[in-house]
Amino acid sequence: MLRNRVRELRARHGYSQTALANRVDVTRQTIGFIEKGEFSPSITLSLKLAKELQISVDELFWLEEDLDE
Amino acid sequence: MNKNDFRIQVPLWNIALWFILIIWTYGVVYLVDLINGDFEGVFKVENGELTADFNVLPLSSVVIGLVLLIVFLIAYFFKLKRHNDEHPIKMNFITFLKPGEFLEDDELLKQVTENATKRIYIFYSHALPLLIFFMVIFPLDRYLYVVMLFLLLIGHNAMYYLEIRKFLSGNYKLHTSKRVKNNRFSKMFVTVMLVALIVAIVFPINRVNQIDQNQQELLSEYESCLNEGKTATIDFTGETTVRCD
Repeated sequence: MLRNRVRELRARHGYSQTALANRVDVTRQTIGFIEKGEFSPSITLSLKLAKELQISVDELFWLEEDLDE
Repeated sequence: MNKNDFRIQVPLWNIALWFILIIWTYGVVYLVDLINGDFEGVFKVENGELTADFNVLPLSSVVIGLVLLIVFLIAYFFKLKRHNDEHPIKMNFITFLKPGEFLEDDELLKQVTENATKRIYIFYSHALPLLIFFMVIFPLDRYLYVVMLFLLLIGHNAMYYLEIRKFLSGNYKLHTSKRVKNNRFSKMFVTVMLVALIVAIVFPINRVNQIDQNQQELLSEYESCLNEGKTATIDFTGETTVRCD
């Protein structure tokens, strides 16, 4: 499963979900789904998010073994 | 994007359109059948005057359907215009390439739209063979099959709308336990197919049996008429009967 630190870093930068969504040109729902780990963003969106949150992509997203599978 | 976005409501408008067309086509099917069939039979001479003997219900349905259709199109046009004035993503009045209800603002919405359309693909791939089966087995009025096709379109739009509503309400899961859902759906499909198969076997057998019974009855009637020394003729117009003169 794809894990991420989007929620934590967004809070650190003081962005709301809508503000971050506007900065990377997606809807608020997309940020919500990424934060919950329910949606895996494309490479392009991952790079945009990493740039906005001033972090590298591999520090923002990482794979974690899913025990259910 | 929010719940007031017209694109979310488009499937409901489509459903309304299909309901209006169900009303309208009832009359249209009747009129087309009339023109292709017994059009001269509509006109009768009574007391030296030529009168038209139309069925009132289908004619009313054409008029009511047409009025509803015009009201619908005007309302749809105004709703669409308001949407285009208020939202950055514009919609076309008529488009044959990309339905207005498709949400493709970003990659998540593309995924949600893909999931919804995938469900509809599965729905059609099960519903259409069943409809073909019923059309082959049951020689019903063609208007009934027109209604069934409209009902498929209504079902398709309802499924799409519910899927998008679920997404907007926040209860949406992109990764559901598909295996459980598929199993339930497969069981339901197998049950429906089994029932359809039983009907397909029982219905023709019953019909053949009925025809055989009718023939036996006609034959005995025919023979008893001849035995009485009369002339027997079989009348095939309408229900087959034996005329004994």
